[in-house]
Amino acid sequence: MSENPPLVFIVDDDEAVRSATRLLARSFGWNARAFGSAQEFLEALPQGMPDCLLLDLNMPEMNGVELQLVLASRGIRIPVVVITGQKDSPLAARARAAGAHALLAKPFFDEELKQSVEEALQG
Amino acid sequence: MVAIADAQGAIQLLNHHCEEITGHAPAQVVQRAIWSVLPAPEGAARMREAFLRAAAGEPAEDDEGDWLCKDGSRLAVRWSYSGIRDAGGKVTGVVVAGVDVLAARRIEAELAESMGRYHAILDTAVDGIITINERGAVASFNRAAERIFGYRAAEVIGRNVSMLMPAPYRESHDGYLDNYRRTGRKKIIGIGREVEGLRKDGTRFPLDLAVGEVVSGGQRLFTGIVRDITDRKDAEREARRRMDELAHVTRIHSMGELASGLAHEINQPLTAIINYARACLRMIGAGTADQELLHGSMEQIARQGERAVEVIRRLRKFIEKGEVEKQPCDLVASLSEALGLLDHELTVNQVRVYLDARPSIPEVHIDRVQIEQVLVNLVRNAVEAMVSGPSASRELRLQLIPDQQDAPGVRVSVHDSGPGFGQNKPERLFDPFFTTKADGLGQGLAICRRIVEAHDGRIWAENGQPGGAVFHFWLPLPDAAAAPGSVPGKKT
Repeated sequence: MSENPPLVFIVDDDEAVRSATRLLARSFGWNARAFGSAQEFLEALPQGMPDCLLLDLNMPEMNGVELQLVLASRGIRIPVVVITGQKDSPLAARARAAGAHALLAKPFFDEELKQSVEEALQG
Repeated sequence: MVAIADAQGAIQLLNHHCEEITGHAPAQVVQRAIWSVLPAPEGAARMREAFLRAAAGEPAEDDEGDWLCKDGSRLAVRWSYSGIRDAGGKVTGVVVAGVDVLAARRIEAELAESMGRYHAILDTAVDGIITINERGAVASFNRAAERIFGYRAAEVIGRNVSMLMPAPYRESHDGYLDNYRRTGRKKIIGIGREVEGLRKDGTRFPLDLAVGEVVSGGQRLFTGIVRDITDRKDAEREARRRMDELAHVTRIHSMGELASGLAHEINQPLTAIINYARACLRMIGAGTADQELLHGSMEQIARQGERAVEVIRRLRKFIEKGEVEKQPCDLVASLSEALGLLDHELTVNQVRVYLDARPSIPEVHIDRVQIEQVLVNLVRNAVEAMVSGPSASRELRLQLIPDQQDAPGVRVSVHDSGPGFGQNKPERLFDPFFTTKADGLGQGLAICRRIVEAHDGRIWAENGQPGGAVFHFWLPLPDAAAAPGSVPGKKT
């Protein structure tokens, strides 16, 4: 793991969850940015890639799986930790198939998040 | 039969009926003594005597006996004598008027039989039949009426029919009769309605009353056909109770289906709360927390807690059983609540919602929970219809506008961008047990229809423009719904 604190991008359409998760990420000592939609995230990508992506599955317009597929089609490889309300839903299965490193169910505990991201960063 | 003779007894004329029955041609009997023509020989002397008395201006009694026809056959006749007086009062002739007794007896027998049949009909009729005269006095009271009211006919006949009515009908009845006599305006005659009756034992009961008018023998009679509808009323009440139960059960059922969406909606604020709290604890432990950060986080925690409470509250409101009560309600707010309950489903399925609600929508009097159930049902159906199509094009358009059907009201339209109905007629959709879903109950739309119709409204569906399906329901405004005799918003 690099000595610089990891940069984590959080994509979730729920404002409260987004803000809280970002705060939590910072409390781990990570750098974190939050986006309200897949589109917003994609527009910010050119400015710099994160070390890890925390991605909510259920979002209007473009959901988590669709974003994963867009990234794959552009050849962009970022470790993805998917956050979902239902771990066994069809959407969750598709997320796994699309290469998600881990699946976290809401509500998640801080240790779970830390562990998942650290594992994802290790590759 | 009429024969007229002069004061001496010479036949002057026979009327057509007499001619026909007796066979005597007037030309042949004119000027002959009436007592030698009409009566049979054994009665001739008696007729002569009575005739001459009448001709003298004295009273002559009616008589009965045989007359002789031209062909020798006999007729049983009852007849009377009447003197004809001139201007001076002198008797110039006598009218002998006779009736064929057998024919009369036959008519009497027929009448008796007819009366017998009439009474038999009245007695065996299942419904109570009561006739009254113009003043309200009971003229007849059949057996069924005796059974219904608990009075014997003898106790009622001759008395005013209002004795069978509880207040306030009792006091008003004479007034109704009077009013009809004067104005001729029919308010209940030929129309029928539900009123209350009063039994002999003092109990009141609901009854169905149909009133007819009969003019007979110069007299005006009113006939009331009454049916005790206590059983029917009880059945109606029971049916309403069951509909409420069914609606309640269906809400519970759909609550189960909403559960995953609601679980998600509660998970969001819980996730936020936990993450804020944990983050703060770490930062406090690391000494990196400042007042501003902590303050902001606490505030968020509180707000998210309230958000979770709101979700629960909305759910409880939806499934509460409650009495069916119509209260003034803002339909726009109800629509928003319904959309709130379905927020997760709409988001997960990436449905774009467009709401067109004019701000000036008047209030309707509705049972909020039930109408929300209709809304939830329609929106969920719309989402289901669109799920099989491409996610980019899922649009739900909701419209809430004033609309005049048979009366002023408000229309709610739910338009999806699904496949629509194609060539199929959408009417069957609202039938109970009709479903195209493999695991569907088929009750959703049938219940929607019952709820909407219980509000005197209408629900219908059609293909949308440019595509998809549109479900409309219309509810009358309070004044329109309360107008007596107004037709519920159904198009014939």
